[in-house]
Amino acid sequence: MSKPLVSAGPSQGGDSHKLGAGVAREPQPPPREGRMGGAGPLIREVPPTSWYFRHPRYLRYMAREITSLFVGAYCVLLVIALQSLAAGQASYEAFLLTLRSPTSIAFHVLALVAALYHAATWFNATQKAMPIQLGEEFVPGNLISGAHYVAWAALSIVILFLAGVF
Amino acid sequence: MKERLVQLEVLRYNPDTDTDAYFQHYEVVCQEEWVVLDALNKIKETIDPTLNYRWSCHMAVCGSCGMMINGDPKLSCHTFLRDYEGVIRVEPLTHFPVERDLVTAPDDFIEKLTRVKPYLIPKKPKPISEGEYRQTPAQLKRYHQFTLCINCMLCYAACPEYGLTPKFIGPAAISLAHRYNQDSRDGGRDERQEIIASKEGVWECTFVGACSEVCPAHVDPASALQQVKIASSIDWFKEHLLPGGGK
Amino acid sequence: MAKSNKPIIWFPFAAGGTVIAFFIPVIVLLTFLAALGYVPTGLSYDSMRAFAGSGLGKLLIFGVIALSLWSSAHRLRCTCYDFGLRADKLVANVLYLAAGAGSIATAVFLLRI
Ligand code: SF4
Ligand code: FES
Repeated sequence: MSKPLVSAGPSQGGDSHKLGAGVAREPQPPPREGRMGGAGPLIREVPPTSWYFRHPRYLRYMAREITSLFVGAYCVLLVIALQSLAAGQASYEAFLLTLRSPTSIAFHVLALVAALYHAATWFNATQKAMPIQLGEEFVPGNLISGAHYVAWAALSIVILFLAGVF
Repeated sequence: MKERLVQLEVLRYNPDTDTDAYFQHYEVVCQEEWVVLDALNKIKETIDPTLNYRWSCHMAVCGSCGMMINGDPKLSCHTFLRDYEGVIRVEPLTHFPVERDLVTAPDDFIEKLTRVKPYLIPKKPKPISEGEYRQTPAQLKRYHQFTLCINCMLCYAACPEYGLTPKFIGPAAISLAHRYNQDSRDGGRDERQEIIASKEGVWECTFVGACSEVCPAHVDPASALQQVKIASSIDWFKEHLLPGGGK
Repeated sequence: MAKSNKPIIWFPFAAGGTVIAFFIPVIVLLTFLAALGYVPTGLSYDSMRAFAGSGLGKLLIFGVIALSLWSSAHRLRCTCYDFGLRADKLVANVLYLAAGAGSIATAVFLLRI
């Protein structure tokens, strides 16, 4: 839930009210140390390191952005794989063995989740970035994203097949 | 008709006397089907005439009643009390200076709207005697969605990149530029690109998408900005990699 | 105000984002299988050598890794800014250089196969 953007004085409670008549509670007088007159328009700073806690949609966004950390790290793993592949059979097979460590398995789970989240958010965005107008009407957005999902599934199955998984 | 006791926590700030804002608690009896703006109006009429806020149309058209309601930028005339439980927290739109209570200063927003040249710039002068511009339904539909903006500034209050980098021209203004760029009668795209394809323009956007989530008029600014990024990239490659700048 | 040169960075970012979305999940799945002890036949030394030895294979591997690295580096740069790290120039240089170095390494290893 959102946090107040300004330091707020505590709401002060009046104690009784009747239904049918609104009751205003006396506000806490604002702090005014040694100051006469006001401050003019109030500028509220955005907290630069914690703004994303203000709303769940920002957390979803940050989650999407952080996938890049895992995808990037995974790409580094791919470069290392290539290095061992170039170095010959013994080193490549040693690399395959290091993949079996618990750390590597845990990392793969995280990387898989990150890659899938990235893919879903990316395909969902295609309809926004590339709307298609055919004649008068725009193609329904979900059709554009859906087509990407279908192509993605097909491509993944082909790759799994070529890699001999089934 | 059902009545309901509604509790609101409203941010108060008086520029003449206050050095900081504070929350004031109100309790007011409302009709079940009222919106937040109705509750504020009743408070102002029956409890506290000093409360300041903007509104005009009460029908989600004028765009002047935007506020943070439980942390979400909303039109208060379009936000139903029945959708909330407990104390409803009402604050002025984030990212804008607070002038008084719930009233914010829209100057930066207005300046940015005007900066993007939001008007038709004809390809060449056309005297009235030559008649009107004609447009097919398809050409109209191409930009129609981006004409629906009511300048409520909710997207600026929602956009964290605007909050972090106030120079950012922002969602509504860039969408409005896109609206004219997409118009078959217009020839001003090059002029607008100088502004919206600049560093402070579309490139500050990281596609958070919050603007489109909060927009009450279904403008979908996030979509406009992604389209502008792609088009600006194509421009750049044409200008830098094609002989003659792709003209 | 002048038009920004950001497209040089953004366009490969967008291309890389697309490549990541289409290719990386299934590639992670393949090495995940290997991590679980079941090495798909396509990941065996001989088939990988054959794949990376072909011109098309080299091109695919390089394209996927280089674009994905670039895209991740750029997104990470924006993320650092969003987390409040204001040394944007430094962050950008470090990350883009790292992505570039990774791509060069990829090319070098591929040419050795
Ligand atoms: S784009 Fe939507 S949210 Fe932004 S000012 Fe216009 S109507 Fe309001
Ligand atoms: S009062 Fe006009 S939009 Fe709410």
